[in-house]
Parts: sequence; structure tokens; C-alpha cells
Amino acid sequence: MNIEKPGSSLKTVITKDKKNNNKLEGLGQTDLDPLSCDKVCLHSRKLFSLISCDDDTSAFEFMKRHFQECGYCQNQYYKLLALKTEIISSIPDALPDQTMQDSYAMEVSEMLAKIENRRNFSEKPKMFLDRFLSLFNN
Amino acid sequence: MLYMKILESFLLDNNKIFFGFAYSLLSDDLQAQQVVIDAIYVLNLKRAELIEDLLTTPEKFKQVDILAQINKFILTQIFTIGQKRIIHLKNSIALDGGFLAFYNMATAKRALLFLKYKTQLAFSEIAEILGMNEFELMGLLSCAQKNLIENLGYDTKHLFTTGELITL
Repeated sequence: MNIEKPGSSLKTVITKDKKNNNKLEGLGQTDLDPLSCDKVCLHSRKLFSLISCDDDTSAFEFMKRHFQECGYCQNQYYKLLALKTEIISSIPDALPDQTMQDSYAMEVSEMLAKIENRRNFSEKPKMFLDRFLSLFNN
Repeated sequence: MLYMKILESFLLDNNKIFFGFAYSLLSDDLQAQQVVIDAIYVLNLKRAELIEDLLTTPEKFKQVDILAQINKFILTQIFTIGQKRIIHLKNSIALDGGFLAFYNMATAKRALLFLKYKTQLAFSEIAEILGMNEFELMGLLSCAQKNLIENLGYDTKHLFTTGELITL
């Protein structure tokens, strides 16, 4: 088990542990039935929601301490992290091609030109009025 | 003119996110880009005052705040327009074969997963974009992740155990 250094994140600690952990089951292998395991931890139920949390949440702080004494949760957590990576890589991150970017840029500049014209149109009468009034003031 | 440039570069730089989000809903690049353009036109029609505020505010921090609001509004519009368009185009769009597990989920789930994992938006902002409260969103996130894992062919039976387990 790693001794946590001040300021080190959980992910760093886990990465170190993961390298040393030979018992870790690979992603995609049949999961053991939790009820048939010798030691199943009640806290492992929280793990799935934990992978969606930020590292600094209080729940994470608790689990960080809990991992020091619970190998079962730690293993489950590794597996869930691997699944999270799989989830992220399954989400398309498409980029528009150059032609599409060019036509988009054209549309945007046309729209902004319209906005500018609209603004100029609404500002001109005001400018004339100001100039007209300034004649009387002088 | 300078402030107009700020808006222009914001819209051009963020197109990757806007397009990516629209593509995650529609799975068609032409449709996705058109939805982004439509969303920007809606911004000009419905929230012209936001653009006007941006163009008249010299303070940097206020500009950043307005740009964040514009960003949220465009993403909201992409989601709204995308949802309607997918109904009309349902049968004419070929799903992206590389992401079938993802596209076999409901639109809101896809939108949520994209915004959660591919953007830097806070959970509260995502909730606003999708028109839900944060608690509903948390439930939907859990459900969406579970669906996606299942669609990828994994067994989720033991990941979501709800029965009584033996404590240490």
C-alpha cells in the first residue's frame, strides 16, 4: 500500500498501486460475482458515481482514505477508471473539414456585418441629432 | 470594430465544440454545421442585447462573462434545434459506424455525455443547457454511462449492485 504524500493526487497513488497490482482483472473479463467473493465492501457501491466526480469532492476524500485499507474497492476503482476511459473514447469528437470551416467563417462574417450595419443605422440618426443640438448650444 | 473581432474569433474558435456537440446529436457533418449556424442566427434574433452588451463593454472580465453566456445560449440552441431536426431526419441519417454504441442511446444522454466529457462545462451549466435540474442530471448521467457500457458489450450487473452486500 502506498503511503500518501501531501499534495499527491489519488490518481497518482492509484497509478503507482496499479503497476504493482498483479491481481487486477483485465477489462472485458467476466467480473466475479460480488456475493461469491470472500470480501466485498459496501463502499464499492459508491464507486460508479465517484468516477464522475471531481477529485476534490468530500466523497472522494473519504474514498481516498478508504482505499488505503480496502483492496476490493481499489481494484473495483481501477476497473471503473478503465471503463471511464472506454466511455470517453466512445464519444465522437468530430471536427469540421476545411470546406465546412470556410463556409462557417463566411456565414459568421456575413452575420456580423449585418449586426454592424444595424448598429450603424441606429446610431446615425442619434449622431445627427447630437450635431444639430450642439449648434444651438454653441 | 475591435469588439466585433472578439465576437468573430470567439465564434470561430468555438466552432470545434459547437460542431462536435451538434455532431454528437445528429451524426451527420453537414446537418451538424447547419444546426450550429442556425443556433448563431437564433442568438442574433433572440439575444441581440447580449451581442450589444459585448460590443459596448470595454471591461475584460465582463466580456468573458458575456461570452460564457453566449456560449451557453448557443449550446442550448444546438440541443433544442438538434432534437427537433433528428425527429425529421431520423430515417435519412446514416449513423456513424465507429460510434454505434453511442448513437444507439437517446439524444439527451448523448448530449450529456458529450458535454460532460468533451467540454470544460460545469455540471450546473450542463443542467441549464439540457433544461434539467442537477439531481435529474446526475441520474441521467449514471443511466447514460450504464447504457453506453452495455452497448459496448460489457456486463454491468455487478457495477450497479443495489442489493445488500457484506461489509468488511
